[in-house]
Amino acid sequence: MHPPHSSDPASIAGHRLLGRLGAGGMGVVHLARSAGGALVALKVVHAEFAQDGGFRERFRREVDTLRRVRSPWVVPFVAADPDAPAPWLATAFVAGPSLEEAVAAHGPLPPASARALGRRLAEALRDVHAAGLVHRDVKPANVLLALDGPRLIDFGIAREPEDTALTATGLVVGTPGFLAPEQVQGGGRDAIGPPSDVFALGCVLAYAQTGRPPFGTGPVDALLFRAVHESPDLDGVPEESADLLRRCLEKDPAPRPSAAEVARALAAPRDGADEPHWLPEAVTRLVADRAAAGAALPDIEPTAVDAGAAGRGEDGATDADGTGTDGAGTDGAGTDGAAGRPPEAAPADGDEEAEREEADGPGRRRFLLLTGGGALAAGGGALALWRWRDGDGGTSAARPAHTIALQADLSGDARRTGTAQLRGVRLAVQEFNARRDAPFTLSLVVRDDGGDPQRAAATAEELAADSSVLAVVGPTTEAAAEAVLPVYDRALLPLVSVTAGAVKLLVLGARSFVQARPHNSLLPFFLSAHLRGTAGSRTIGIVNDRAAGDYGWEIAGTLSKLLNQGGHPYVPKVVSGRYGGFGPAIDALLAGGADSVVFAGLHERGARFARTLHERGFTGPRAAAHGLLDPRFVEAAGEAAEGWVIAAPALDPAEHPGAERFTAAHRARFDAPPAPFAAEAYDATGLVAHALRGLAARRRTRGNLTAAIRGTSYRGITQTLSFSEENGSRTIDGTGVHLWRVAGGRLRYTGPGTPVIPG
Amino acid sequence: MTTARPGALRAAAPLLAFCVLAAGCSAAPDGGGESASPSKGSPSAKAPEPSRSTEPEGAFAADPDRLPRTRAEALALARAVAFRPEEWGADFVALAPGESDPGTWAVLDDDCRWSREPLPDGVLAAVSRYSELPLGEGRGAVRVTAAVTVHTTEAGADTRLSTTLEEAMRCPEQEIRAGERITELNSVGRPAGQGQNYADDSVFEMGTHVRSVDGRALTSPYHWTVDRLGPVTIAVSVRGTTGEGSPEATSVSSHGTVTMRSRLVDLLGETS
Repeated sequence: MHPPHSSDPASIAGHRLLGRLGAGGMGVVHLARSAGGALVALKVVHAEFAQDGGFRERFRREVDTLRRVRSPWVVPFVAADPDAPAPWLATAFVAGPSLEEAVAAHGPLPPASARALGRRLAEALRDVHAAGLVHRDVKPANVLLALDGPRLIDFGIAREPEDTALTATGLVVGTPGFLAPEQVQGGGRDAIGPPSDVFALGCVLAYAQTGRPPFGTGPVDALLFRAVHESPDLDGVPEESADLLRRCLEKDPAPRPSAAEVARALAAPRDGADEPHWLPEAVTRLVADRAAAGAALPDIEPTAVDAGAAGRGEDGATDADGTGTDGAGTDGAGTDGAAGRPPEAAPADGDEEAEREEADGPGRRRFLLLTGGGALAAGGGALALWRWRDGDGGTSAARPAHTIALQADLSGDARRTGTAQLRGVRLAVQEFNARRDAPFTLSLVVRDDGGDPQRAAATAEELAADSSVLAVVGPTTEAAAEAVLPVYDRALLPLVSVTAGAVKLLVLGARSFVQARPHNSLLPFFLSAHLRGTAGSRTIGIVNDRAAGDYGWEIAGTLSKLLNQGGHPYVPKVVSGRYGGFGPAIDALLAGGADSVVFAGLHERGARFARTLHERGFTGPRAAAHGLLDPRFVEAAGEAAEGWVIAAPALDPAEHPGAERFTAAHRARFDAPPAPFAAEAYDATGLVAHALRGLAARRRTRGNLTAAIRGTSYRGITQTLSFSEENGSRTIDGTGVHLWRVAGGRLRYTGPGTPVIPG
Repeated sequence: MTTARPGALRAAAPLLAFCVLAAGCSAAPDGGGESASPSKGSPSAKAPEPSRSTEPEGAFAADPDRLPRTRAEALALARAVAFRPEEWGADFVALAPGESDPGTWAVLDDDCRWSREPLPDGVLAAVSRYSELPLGEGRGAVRVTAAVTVHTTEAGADTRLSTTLEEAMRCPEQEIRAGERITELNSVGRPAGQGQNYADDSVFEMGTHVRSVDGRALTSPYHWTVDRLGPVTIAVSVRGTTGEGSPEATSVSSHGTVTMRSRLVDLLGETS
């Protein structure tokens, strides 16, 4: 839940607003307390829709119908006012998690649970249809789980195309992936009837049993195509229910069973009684936790964070609160309790790097295998979960411990960067715990995602499920970041990345993401200023390597736009990721008069490009963004790499005034100089600790920490970090991008870049 | 000017908005927490891997025996796939001319102006069909172009997509005919497996269409998509959708691309 917006009124029609449950194009859903004291979900329609007479009429009619629906599995109607300037509808508030959350956190439901779920949802739809209503948006997020059964929410009350998340397409009412073909094919409101809900029910039940929507996920276009043309993916659905689902998922609405028939087909085969524990134990626990949290709602805070407190630092009331052992102390209980345990289990594949470092480290450190809670069990055997803590003499058992995590690529293509981040984070934690004035100690959980999106998402689910984890630094790769963002958003778990810099990550609406580096679209400003300024280039050749995906597009596209707007000559060239070499592109650049070249791509193909350019005898300025800040580029390109300039959101602390202590500590502990992104990860960790310190002990929650990080300003050794409170992007201040040059077969730091040409 | 103003850094902002609209940036939490977000183990978790060079895989396997070999066969294929006016919707009508000269294709020249030039060697056939939906007295019309191009080789069609991306970098402002311009053009490429798997490759472009009518500039959203399946590209452009009663550009566009792709798969796909 979000706190109320500053623009939200304190109350609507006698309901005191407590927070926002959601918002869409149509209106806002608030959590509110009615005059009688009950908690309700209050949906308020934007006034502009209410000006449409037809809309208001439909709203009134459908509210009247919903009022008549009596089903234990439909969220109860409480009150509504279709005639208010902004019409509203209140239904009972159900504190349970959605089916979507439950499946995301604990995987598909076992057959008995899925059957019970299916029966009750079918009964709910039977009753809804009998009343003359069509839901129109049956999907896992609209099924809440309670201890006694599911609750169907968010009725199609005057649902309009604007009311869906993906209607940037304007094409469909409802949610692609759970839409019947007749909804996709745009037959309008009339084509959508009870069979459309049955189709969606089939999708939901397939999702519940496999963890996947039966027509996949991805772009709207693809989903719509599959729903209309392809057969559903029911792999993993038990045979006894697969046939029923197949009939629900008929392309033609006519042969689909009615909701009543589905309910009958799923009738309990044995005793017919509804088992008290209809959900698996882990999900039951999630439901119970959520219900307990719901019961505690009267204490909900009106605002999530006191920004002043977040920035205040070390003195004042926060210290007194922070040293208390109640409340927050439980966060670290698992760690403290297990403190004496030796690291007995060996980490699984992929964690060797981490293990080696730990084994090489000073003996006074203690490594704690997390055994409590469900995190390890949920993780399966492939990923070892380590809880790590520096136990130096300064740490006191009386201080509470808070857990932060690093999710990094320690075994994949970006492992060098991931390992640098791991080292930076470790040094930050070690240093923090050594401070005698710290009001708490930090525990560190390290997880390797291999840079792989699927593995990254699974890792994020596990970290999100571990309620002791208050913040995560990472991940290393852009692809991993894209995959984990929805997971951390759902858990409102702060995610601070120093490498994932795609602009895309900022516009996904992720509430807990913090991008602690200038985003990729800013790098071209520094490249342009370097080439046209220092290097004296007149016409810049730009190569967008399609093999580098969005990264290449973001660098090359922004650079060409920037030069176009400034009226500066440039020659753009796009190279296929699939066919041919770089020769023709280079010929075209030279023929177009380019006297300098920017390569928007990654290290491996960058080396090939550099060699081809070298063979052509080109000696003009050559530049790239951080995709080439990799020793493998220098190695593979050899002589051809000499002179390349790279703009990157990383500096070399060994050459940076103010980072001497960090560099020395890094050398002492790891017997190596810090690699790029070690110091940035050290600062990201310092940022999290700083924000956490600013919160009173009882307020150190994930949500409050997110707001505190986004609201604070933190001076680290590499840069001063502050963010947009809205989307977590780093404040654009012209700093944070640094230039490197290949010289003598090495990447050498040359200093901070500038986005403008001096003088 | 030789010095960028610091404020110019903020010029990157429009790209953010574009990214939101481009389908390649989907799979997002919507902030309300109720959207269909990718779940653990879902196919969509196979996001692009920008930290690694990847050779994208194809999404479409043409049956080599069904590929057109002659210009006549290719033209027949293009005509069978390209949408006719009535296929866009009941009230769509043909523009005059309703179809391009079959011996030509569209080329963007050095001055960022589109014109039709004779087909080059690597192109067997190119058909553009022009339709419009009149919106009523004084309210203009929605104009739609469906273009199908048959290349001799898959590599040739692949190059066409690279050229398309290049054109948006080279000419963010383009003249499509006298009195009609596209401005603020943005593009995004999505090879198979990177945000879509319905085509071997896809490029999506968006901008503002500006038309001068009686000295007034009328603006509307401009949408353009081109999908490649094997050696064939299918493109749809939509402009003029603005105001009440006008369909959404993306809605019109999806209708065309989904159906035309499906036709092409029926006509060229492996039959087994």
